[in-house]
Amino acid sequence: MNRSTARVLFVILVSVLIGTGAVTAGPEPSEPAVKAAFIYNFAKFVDWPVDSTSGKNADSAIIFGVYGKSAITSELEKTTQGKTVHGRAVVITTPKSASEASKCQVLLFGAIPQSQVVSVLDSLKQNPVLTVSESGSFIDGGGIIQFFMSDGRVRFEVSAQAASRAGLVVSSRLLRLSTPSDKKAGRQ
Amino acid sequence: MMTFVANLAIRHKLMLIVMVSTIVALIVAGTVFVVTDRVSIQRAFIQKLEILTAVVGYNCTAAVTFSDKTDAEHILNGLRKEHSVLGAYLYDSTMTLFAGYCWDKQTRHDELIPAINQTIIQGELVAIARPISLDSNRIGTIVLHATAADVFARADRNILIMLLVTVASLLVSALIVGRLQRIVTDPVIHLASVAETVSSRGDYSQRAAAGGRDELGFLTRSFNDMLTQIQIRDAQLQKLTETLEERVHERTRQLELEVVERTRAEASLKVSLVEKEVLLKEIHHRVKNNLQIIDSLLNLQASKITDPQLGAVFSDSQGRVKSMALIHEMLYKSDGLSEINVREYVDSLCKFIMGSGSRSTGRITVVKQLDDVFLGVDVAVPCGLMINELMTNSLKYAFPGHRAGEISIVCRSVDGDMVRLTVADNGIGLPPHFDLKGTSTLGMQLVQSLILQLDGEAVFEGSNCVSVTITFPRVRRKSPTGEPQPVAYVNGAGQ
Repeated sequence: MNRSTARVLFVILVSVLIGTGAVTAGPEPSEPAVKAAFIYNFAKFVDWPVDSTSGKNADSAIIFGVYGKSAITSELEKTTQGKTVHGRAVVITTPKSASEASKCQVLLFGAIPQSQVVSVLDSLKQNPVLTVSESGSFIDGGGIIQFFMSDGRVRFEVSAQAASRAGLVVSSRLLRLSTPSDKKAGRQ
Repeated sequence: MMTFVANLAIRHKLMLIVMVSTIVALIVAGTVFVVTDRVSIQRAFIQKLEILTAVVGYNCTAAVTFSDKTDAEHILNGLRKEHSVLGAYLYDSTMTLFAGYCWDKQTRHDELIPAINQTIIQGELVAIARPISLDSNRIGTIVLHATAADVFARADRNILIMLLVTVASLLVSALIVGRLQRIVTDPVIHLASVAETVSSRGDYSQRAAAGGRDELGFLTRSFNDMLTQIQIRDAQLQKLTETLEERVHERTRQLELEVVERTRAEASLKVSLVEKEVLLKEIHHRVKNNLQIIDSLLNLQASKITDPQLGAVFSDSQGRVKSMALIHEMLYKSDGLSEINVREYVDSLCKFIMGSGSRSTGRITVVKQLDDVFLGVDVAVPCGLMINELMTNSLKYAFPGHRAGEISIVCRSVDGDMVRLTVADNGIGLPPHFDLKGTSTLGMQLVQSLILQLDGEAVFEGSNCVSVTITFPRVRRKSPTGEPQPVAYVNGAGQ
């Protein structure tokens, strides 16, 4: 096979496409929109125990809860509009208490004090709820997924231990993308 | 070509047949194997690539979902271990390139993008596109480019191996056939060499070593049996020949003895013959001498007789005795002692008759027409007497006075063994009313009895001249009845 021709023809294309990482096209989506999309997609890489869902029905809706105020809520509503996860409808709620929060499958912590976060996390310890937060040291507090920014890009860290404790099965494909937040750097 | 094969030695022929069959079988098997191998290798390769594409695509699901280009490239770079993969490219749902891997970081083959779930094969280049799905939604596409060069090289290597194996198989086959064909050819060659020995030396005691119970064994045994039969026949022939030789020797010896005996007998016969000839000569001589003595006695007696009629009787008798004596004289002078020549005899007889009848000399001539006719003594004596009588008769009566004339004597050999004698004269002819039977003269009575003795037939003519023709067998034969032959008379007149 004559590879020299291909080499000459595509050398510029290589430098443009790979070197600059021209992945995106069009206007850059906002950080809350990205996070909302991430949260929605997290649900696709997580399996919940069948009997833990509300009404013990595997076909019932997946409840996304936002605990406390967050800019992501409205974006999440937009993102999940008319969509399903594992064939199940998506419902967005805003739980006010720990007991309400325990009915959710995915729970995003908004702008609430750290102490409250810790107490809710404690109450949800034995419940299969995928907890997500934007605040630092969330993993240390017993949370499962924590967003952080790195090089202007939204990244996240997944605590396999916490997920396992909650009885959730997180796909290894998602775990592959988990980045230690303290290092704030790319994987080796 | 067929002649060449036909002239090959049987072992080479067998070798050729087996080797040709083996080569054909190996070529067919090898071709089927190579084609099948190439197809299956290619199919397995494509299948492996498709699985690889699907797996890599699945692993990239999260990276595409969360737009993690680094992770995607990390996963794609894992393909570096797979040398046949030239590159792998991830596209998002809008078919925009999201991440890529190229084996040399420089070459790109992303211009070749098959439709979703399609596999394109262009020569050695294979391009596979597989969807990346998440929760039943297609979120992107993975395209894998690979080269089948190694696979084809492996297939080519298999062809080479196949060829080497074929050649090795042929060599092994040739070795095995070279050994095994002896099972068939050795008995045949052995039989042929024995046949050659038998044929060239004629040695029928040779025997071929008998083989098994197969056709060759049967052939060998039959050949040996044939040799045995030939030997037995030879021995019988030899014995017969020896016996025959002995018999020939024996017979030859007998024949030789016979020849010796015959030679001896012949010699004694010759001696005896000579003795007999001498004796015969002696007898004829003595008979002649005795007849001459009689003639001389008659002559002496006649000289005392004065009566001319009595003298004539004596003279006739002397003539008769002389004609007989002349025969015996000619007989003992002849070679065979048994036959005289009529011509010579008649010459001598004429001389004598014409000399004794001196009165007629000059006016009567004798004309002779004589063949060389040979007569035995038993025929010659009556014949001579008859000529004497007839000539004397003609001289006495045919030319009375001084009448001149001629007497003709003709003797011819007719119809093989018959003799025709004619004595004629041109004298005065027979007297009228001459009756031969009635004649009382001794001469004519003698003639008649002599004709009977000769077993002959006579014709008399006597009008102007007298002619007597007698036809008689040259050799005296005995009449079966013993009856005397009749005498024909043409003219009844007597003399």
